[in-house]
Amino acid sequence: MARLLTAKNISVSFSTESGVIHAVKQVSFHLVEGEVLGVVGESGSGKTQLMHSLLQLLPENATTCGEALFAGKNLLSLAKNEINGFRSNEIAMIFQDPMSSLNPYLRISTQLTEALIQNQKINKRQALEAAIEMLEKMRIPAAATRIHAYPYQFSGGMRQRIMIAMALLRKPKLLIADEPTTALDVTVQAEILTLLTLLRDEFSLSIIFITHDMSIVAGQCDRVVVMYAGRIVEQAPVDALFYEPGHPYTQGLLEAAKSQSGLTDKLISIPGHPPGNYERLTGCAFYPRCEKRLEVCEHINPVMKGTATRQQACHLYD
Amino acid sequence: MLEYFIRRLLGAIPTIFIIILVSFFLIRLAPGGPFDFDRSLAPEIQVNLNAKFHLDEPVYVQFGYYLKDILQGDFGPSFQYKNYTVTELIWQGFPVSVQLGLSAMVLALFIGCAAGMLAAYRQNSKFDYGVMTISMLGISIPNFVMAPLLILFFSITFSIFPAGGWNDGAFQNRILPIITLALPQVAYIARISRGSMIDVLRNPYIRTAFSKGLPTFYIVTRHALKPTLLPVISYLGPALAGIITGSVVVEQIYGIPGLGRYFVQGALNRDYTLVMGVVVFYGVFIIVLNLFVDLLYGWLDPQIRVQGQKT
Amino acid sequence: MKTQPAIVEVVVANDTTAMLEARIIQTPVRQVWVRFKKNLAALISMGVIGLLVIAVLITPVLSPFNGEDIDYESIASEPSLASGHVFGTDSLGRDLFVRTMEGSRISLLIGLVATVVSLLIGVNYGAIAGYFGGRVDAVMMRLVDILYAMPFMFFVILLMVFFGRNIYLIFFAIGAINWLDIARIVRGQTLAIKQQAYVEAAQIYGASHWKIIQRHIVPNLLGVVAVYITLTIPQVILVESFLSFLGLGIQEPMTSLGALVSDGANEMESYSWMLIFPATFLSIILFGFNFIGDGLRDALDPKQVN
Repeated sequence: MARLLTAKNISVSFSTESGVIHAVKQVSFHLVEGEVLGVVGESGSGKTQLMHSLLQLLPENATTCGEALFAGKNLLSLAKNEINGFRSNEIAMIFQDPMSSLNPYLRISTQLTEALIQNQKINKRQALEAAIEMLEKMRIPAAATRIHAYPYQFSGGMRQRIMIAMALLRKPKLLIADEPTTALDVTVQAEILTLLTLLRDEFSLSIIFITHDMSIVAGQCDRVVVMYAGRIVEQAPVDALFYEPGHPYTQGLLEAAKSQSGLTDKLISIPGHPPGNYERLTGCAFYPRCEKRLEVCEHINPVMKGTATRQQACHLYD
Repeated sequence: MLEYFIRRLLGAIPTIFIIILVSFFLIRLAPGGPFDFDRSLAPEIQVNLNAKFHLDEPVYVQFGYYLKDILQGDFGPSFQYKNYTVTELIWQGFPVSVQLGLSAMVLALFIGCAAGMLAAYRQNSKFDYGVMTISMLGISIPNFVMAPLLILFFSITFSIFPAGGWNDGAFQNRILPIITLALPQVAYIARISRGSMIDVLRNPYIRTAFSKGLPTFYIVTRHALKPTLLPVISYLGPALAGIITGSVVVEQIYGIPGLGRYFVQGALNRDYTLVMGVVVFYGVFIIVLNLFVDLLYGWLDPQIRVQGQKT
Repeated sequence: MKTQPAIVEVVVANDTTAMLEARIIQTPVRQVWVRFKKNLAALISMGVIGLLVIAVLITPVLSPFNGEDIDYESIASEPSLASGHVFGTDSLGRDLFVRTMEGSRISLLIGLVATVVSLLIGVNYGAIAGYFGGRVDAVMMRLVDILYAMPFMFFVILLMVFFGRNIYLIFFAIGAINWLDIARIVRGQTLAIKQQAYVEAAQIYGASHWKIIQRHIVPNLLGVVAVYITLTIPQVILVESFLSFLGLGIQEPMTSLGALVSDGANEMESYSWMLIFPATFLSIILFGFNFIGDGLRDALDPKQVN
């Protein structure tokens, strides 16, 4: 199948009062049409900044380098009006906290239809009809009347459905979901995930699914990318990742996830914590926390090596 | 929304009552005032006074009469202008002050919001620093320093505008007073709207709007404008108080026959009833206006508009 | 153990992440000073105000003239080095430099005293409201809300008219204008701190209310109070100048900058220096304190907007 998105050597850094933060370092990955790609990592791993860079949503103090090829264009270097075209019609993003991601002062109807009206030049009435239909697909009851309500009048789960509706109405090719269920209750989580699976088939979506929850990865994703301290440390198909995790960090994540689900006796976690924002690193970023570390790991940063389908950045496999 | 309005209304009533109560006692306590009976008076005069002010009855009864008078708009006779009642004087001066104050307020809102929001949009640019510095000047320079300077420049050195006088509200006569009144408010409103817009633009829902590919102008006007203006609207109450206070000096310097000038003249000439009347009048006026501002705010905030209060 | 001002510093990992870490950081006074120094306007203002204060205190050394003596040979004369009247004289022949210095002195004095008055009123009011919470707090704060929109100036003028232009009354009346802001802030801080775990812990351990207030509440307030003082002084001076300008403030022979500006404005067509010098000094004092206050506020909490 064709590649929808090819990212090469993307780096994102922020200049702040206290110094430069390198949030994303030389990240390369790709997305195949129709697949669900999971992006896994702890907070601070750079996964959100990476995704935001694709749509040029980073703040003013951010510098981005690298290439993100989508439909033949480099998203990172597009001008304002060009990137707006992609944001509106090709790539849609849904965010972590639906309460703060919806404008509390505007009706849902406005927020659902505005992109259609402004960019896709659909007239108001048709856009509204399409929006109501989409809300009904999202299983929101009494959609026709409730569409004129304000965000605070909906529950967390419903707001996330509204965000998904808002994204799908534009008929994008790619949906980037940034931890869409993290802020929701577990039962609601399950509903949203089921919904996403159904929609993916119905709308022929490709999805990038950012999460730190391994069980979601297992349930939803075809392929997985694991990030740590701003770099990708492992890429693999989901089964391979779960049954034979390559990188020690991935192994640690899986152990921790297993223990959280009650499959082990005690609660396991990876000792230590991820490097801080301003720390300068030589060698492998995971070195301080790695059980299987070698001498070389302290000084030389490993590069991604492996086969066409799976790679990892670890000296154990050199 | 109705519930919100009623609650605000109920809050306003005791305030008005307290103002009237305080004014009642102040007048009676003022040394050298109309109720200072140090000097013994001729009996006929004493009888007249007793009758008029019900002085032989208990204090709370006196207050009752006072309250009744005030609520009917009767503030008593002016001490200074023997042939006029305070009410008549207020009615003469107030329309003039309203015209000036309203124009100043509108001017301040437009210029202040425009400057503030533009500065926020181009944060840390030269324009932004310029706006912040000039607004600091506007806040720091008192209007009674600004006014003479403006007159010195625009009237004396370059005869563009007249140095004073109302001239029945002629346009040239209005310009300098309105500008003087508006300047400090322009400064405050610019700062408030700038800070507010910076806050609003940081919100996740603005990022969502950008992620949908909406044009920037649309996002600023449709998504950011209303939340940005809410703190400005909250400021309208104090802004109004500031303009009323400023009018005292501005009318004095430019020789404009508004309520502020009557007030100052009254103060200098110890016209107790006039001074008292103006304070009560303006106090009630401000409270009523604040009620309207509260209503406006409540109407704009969807949570208050629909369910009466914020969750 | 030295109590150092504690400041809540909000650290944002990056602007697009919704995660915020709030940490109570003991920021030493030194770090605040370093940040303050970066603000050029504030620094210059400090220097200028400092010089002004010194000049005001050593006026007799700087000029041979007295603010009351009339120099019959130079009535309403221009500034000139030859005559020794560096700022010129006023319409009565008094040296304007000395008068301006005296006016500055009175203005600064009133600024300081009235600010202290409003500080005392506001801090106590706010602390009581915050400490007791509940009904008491609700009522007290409602009163503050109501008073907020009132034009206090009018009440002060009222008091001046009714009870005379007594300088002590001026101190108190002007001080009573500005306490609302600090009351609100102190009340907010008190409420927040009351709920902190460590206060509860201290209470369980039997620490007295006073100790709790001293050790936990007060250090958190120092920064805020410092900013408040530097920003209130110019407001108070402004009010006093306003009154004096209208002729309702300080009585002769005492003078303040407001009165001097008023006199100067009357003569500005012919003798513009009588307006310009006091007006400039007044403006400098007001800017200066405002810049310092702004700078202080930014230095204490750099992430805060405006």
